[in-house]
Amino acid sequence: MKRLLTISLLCAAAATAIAAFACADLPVPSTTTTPADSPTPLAQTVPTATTAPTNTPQPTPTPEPTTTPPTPSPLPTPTPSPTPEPTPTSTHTPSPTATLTPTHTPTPLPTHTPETAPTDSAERPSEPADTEPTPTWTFLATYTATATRTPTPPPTATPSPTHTPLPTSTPTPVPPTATHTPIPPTPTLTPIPPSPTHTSVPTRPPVTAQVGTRVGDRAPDFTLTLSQGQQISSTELIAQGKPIFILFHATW
Amino acid sequence: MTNIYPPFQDEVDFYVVGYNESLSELADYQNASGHPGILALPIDNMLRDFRVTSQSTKVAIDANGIITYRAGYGQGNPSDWPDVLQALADSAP
Repeated sequence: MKRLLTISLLCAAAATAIAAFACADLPVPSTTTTPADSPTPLAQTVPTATTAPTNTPQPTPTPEPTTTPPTPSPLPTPTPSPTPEPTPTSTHTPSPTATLTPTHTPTPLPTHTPETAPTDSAERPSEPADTEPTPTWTFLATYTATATRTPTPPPTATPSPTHTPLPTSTPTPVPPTATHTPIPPTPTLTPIPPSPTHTSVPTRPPVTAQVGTRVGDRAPDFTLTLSQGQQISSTELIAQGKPIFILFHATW
Repeated sequence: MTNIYPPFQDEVDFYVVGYNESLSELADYQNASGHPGILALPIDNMLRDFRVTSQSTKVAIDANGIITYRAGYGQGNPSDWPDVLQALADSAP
């Protein structure tokens, strides 16, 4: 009879162990990487969730989970673990993160079974709660919640329909006009013979000589004072067209 | 010149320029000799510009301002003067 009882107990224990192992794929790597702090993390996930409008009492970051093991655990683990550490996990079930994001399934949290935790919790009952990595978990939860949003497609640039190519102008050949007739030369243009009345004008040589005192040079400008006191210049005489004969005379 | 110039006095101006006399002295000389022409005195540097270095220097300037004849003291021939005066008269318009 005792054997049957022991066998049944062993079977039950094995079943629970298998169940616990099946649920061991907890997606919380932070707790698995730090098994030494296993009791405290689960207890401190609740304080981080205090922002949620849940009615669960807020456990302070004090080392209560380690000191108050008597809370009943939903998983009757027959393992020889002396400390009832899973109890904080049971209290964690109403996770506020789950309430924040409906997509978040709190199922992984109960599967957190720190087998190596008893020794650490016993040795460090006053472990500060600052080492808890669960805030990253909540961050992930919010991240998944935001990730569920449907991204708005970027606005596609629609080409302006008003841009229409201009029609190419097709030059039409202009027919040559047949009205263009060459103008005959007028026979009335005859050279005019020089008039014999203006004979003195062509005979006057052009004044291109330089100023000098010799024959052929242009006479220098001068001014004379006449006997009545009036003055007359060479330019005035040339302008009048009067030739001049000058005699420099001395009375002595 | 007293016998040659009168036929050209309407076409050619004849100026007797003294270079060291006054107008009164020139007038006295003209009255005494009966020399034709318009008595005048030079102004500024006319003698230097014309390079007059001797007395009785004669310069003919046609109607275009070109010197057609030049003769100093003892130079030239009075027989040439009628041609000179005729050329001056012909240069007038």
